Amino acid sequence: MMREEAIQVILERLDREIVIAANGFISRETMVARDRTENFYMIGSMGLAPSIGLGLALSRPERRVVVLDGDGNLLMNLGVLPTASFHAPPNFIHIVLDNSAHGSTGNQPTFSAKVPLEQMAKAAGYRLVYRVARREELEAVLPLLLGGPGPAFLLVQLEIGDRREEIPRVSLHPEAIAARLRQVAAGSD
Amino acid sequence: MDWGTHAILATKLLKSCGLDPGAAIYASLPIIDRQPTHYHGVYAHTLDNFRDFLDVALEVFPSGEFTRRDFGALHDRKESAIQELEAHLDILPVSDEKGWHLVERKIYALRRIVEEAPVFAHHLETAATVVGDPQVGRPGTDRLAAAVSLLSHPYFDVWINPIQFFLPDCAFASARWDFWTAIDFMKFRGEFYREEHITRFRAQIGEHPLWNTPLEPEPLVKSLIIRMGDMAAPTVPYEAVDWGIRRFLRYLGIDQYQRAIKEIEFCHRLEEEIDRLILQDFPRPTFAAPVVTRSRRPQMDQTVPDRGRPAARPQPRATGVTAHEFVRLLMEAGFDFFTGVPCSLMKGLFTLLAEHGYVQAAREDAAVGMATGAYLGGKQPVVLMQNSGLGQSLDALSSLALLYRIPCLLLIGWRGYGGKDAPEHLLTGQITPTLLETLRIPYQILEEETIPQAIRWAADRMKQDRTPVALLLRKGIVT
Repeated sequence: MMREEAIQVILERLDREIVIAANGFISRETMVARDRTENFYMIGSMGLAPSIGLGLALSRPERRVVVLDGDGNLLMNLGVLPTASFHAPPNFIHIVLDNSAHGSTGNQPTFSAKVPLEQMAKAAGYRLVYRVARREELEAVLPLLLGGPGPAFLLVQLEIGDRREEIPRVSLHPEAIAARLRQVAAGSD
Repeated sequence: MDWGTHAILATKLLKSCGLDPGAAIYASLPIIDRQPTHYHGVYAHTLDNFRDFLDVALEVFPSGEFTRRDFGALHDRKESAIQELEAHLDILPVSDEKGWHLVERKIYALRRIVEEAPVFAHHLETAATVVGDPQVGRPGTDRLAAAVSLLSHPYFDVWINPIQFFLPDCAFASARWDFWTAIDFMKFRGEFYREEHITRFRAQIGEHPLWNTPLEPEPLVKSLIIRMGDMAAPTVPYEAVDWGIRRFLRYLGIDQYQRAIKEIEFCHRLEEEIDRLILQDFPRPTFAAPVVTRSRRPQMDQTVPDRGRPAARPQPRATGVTAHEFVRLLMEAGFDFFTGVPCSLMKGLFTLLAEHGYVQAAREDAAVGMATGAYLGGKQPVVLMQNSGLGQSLDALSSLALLYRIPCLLLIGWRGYGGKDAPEHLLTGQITPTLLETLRIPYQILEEETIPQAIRWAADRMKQDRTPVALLLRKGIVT
C-alpha cells in the first residue's frame, strides 16, 4: 500500500472529523483525495500537525480530531507523544503514515525503518496503539480507532513512492484554510 | 510643536547623528499649506510626499537666490523648471497615470515651496536665533541630514496632533493617545505654547543628557518611521510601515538592511522624557480616576508584635502586579486558552494558570502549534515562554502562525534584559526585540504602570490584524 491509497481509505471512513494533514505530500494527497471544509492542510511548520490537533481537540472536546502525520514529521516533534498522553484528550486520533522516508524531498531514509514509532507512542501512554501494513488491516482497524477513547495512535506502514505522476500543490490560500475550518470547528457549540 | 521647538529638537537629533545642524531648516517644510487646515494635515505631514519635498527643498534652500533672499529670481527659476516638467508631461502617454501623478506632484511641491520661500527664510533666521547656533542658519546640502530633519517634524508633532503619516496606504493617525489620557489635555492644548511653559520645555529637553547617545542616521530614519507606525490607532498594517521604510530608504540610496534597535530604544526613551516633562506641567486634575494599576497585596497583619521579637520591618512597596491581577486582566481581555513552556520570570503565573486548564507543551514551537489549534477551535490563546523559546519557535511563527494569520498572544519572559543575567541569556536578551521586529510581530514591552493598557492593546491588535502579537515581560513586572 502506498501513501495515497492509505489516505483515500482513511478519508472514506470519515464523517465530521476534523483532519489536520502534515506538510508535504500528505497535505497534497489529502486535498486531492477529498477536500473537505474540516481539512486543515499544514503546508509549513513541519512536525507541528499533532500539536495543532491537540490544541483543537482540547478546545473542542465534542469534535473528533484526526491527525495525518508522517514519520519524518513525528520524528521532528517527538515531545508531542508524552504531551498528548499527559493531557489525554479522548477525541484525539494520531495516524502516522510511515514510509520510512522523507517523501517530499526525494525519499531520503528516516529512522523509522529501524525504530518502531508505535512503540514510542505506547511507552508514552496513548490509550490505543495499532500498527497495520495492509489495506484490509487498515480498513478493519479504522472503526476501532475512531470509536475508542483516545488518545489513539495508528502507524500505517507504507511502501515508498507516489502512485500519481504529478501531485498538485495545495491550491487554497492558508488564510482561507484557517478561516473555513474555524467556522465549522468554532461554530459547533 | 511650534517652529522654535521643532528647530531645537531637529538640531539635537542631527547632532546626535553627527550630521550638519544646517539641515534643521528642512524640518520646517511641513509648515506649508496652512490653509485649509485639514489639507495641511493630509498633505504636508505625509511620508509619501517627503521625497518631493526633499527634491525641491534641496534645490531651493542652499541656492544663491535663496541665500540672497532674491525671491523674484527664485520665482523665475521655478517657472522655467515647471515648464520643463510640463513639457515632459506632453510626451507622457495619457494612459501612464502613475507617471502623470508623479510629475504633477512634483510640480505642486515645487510651486508651493517656492511660493512660501519668504516664510522659510524667516523660519531660518528664527531657528538660528532660538537654537543659538549660526550653523543652523546655513542650509545644508546633505540629503540624509535633510531627511532626518524633515522626519523629525511629524514625529514631534504627535504630542500635539494626530498625524496621518502613512497616507495613502493607511488613513489611521499616529499620536500619543495614551499620554493624552494621562495628562490634563485641555489645559495642555490651551497653554503649552505660552511663554512660561514652552521656554521651560525647550530648555529642559534641549539640555537632556539623552542627546549624548551616539546614533546612526540611516537606522534613525527607519526607527522614526517605525515609531510613527507603532503610535497609530487603531492600527497601521505592518505592510504600510514596511513599504514606507523601503520606499524612503531606497529614495535616499540606502539599500542595506538597517538594524535600528539602538535607535528605537532611543526613541522610546526620548518619548518617555517628553511625556514626563509635559506631564509635570500638565498633570490630570486630582478628581480624575487613577489610571495606574498597582498590586493589591493583602495588608500585613497589624497586631502588636510579640514582646522580645523585633517589630516587623516596614515592607518595601510592592512593584509590578500580582499573578492574580495579571491573570484577571488577561481573562477580562478575553484570553481563554493558555499554553507554553515555563519561565522563571513568571513563576507565579504558571502556578496560577495550572488551575485554569493551562496546557503545558514540551517545546515552545509545539506550544505555538497548540495555540493555533485552539484558535481554530474558537479560543483566544496565550503562549507563555521565555525568550530562549522565541528562537525555538521561528519556523512555527513564520510558516504557521504568521502564514495562516493566527491571532495569539506571545507572553515572553525577557531574560538577559539590560545585559545583566547568566551568560546563556545575554545574546538572546539583546536580540529579542530585533527578532520580533524581523518576524514582523507587533510587540510592546510591559511597564508596570500600563499593564492593563498593554494587554488590551495586545487583544485588540491581534484580532484587528489577525496576527500573533507579543508582550515582553521583564523581571519584577509580575510578582
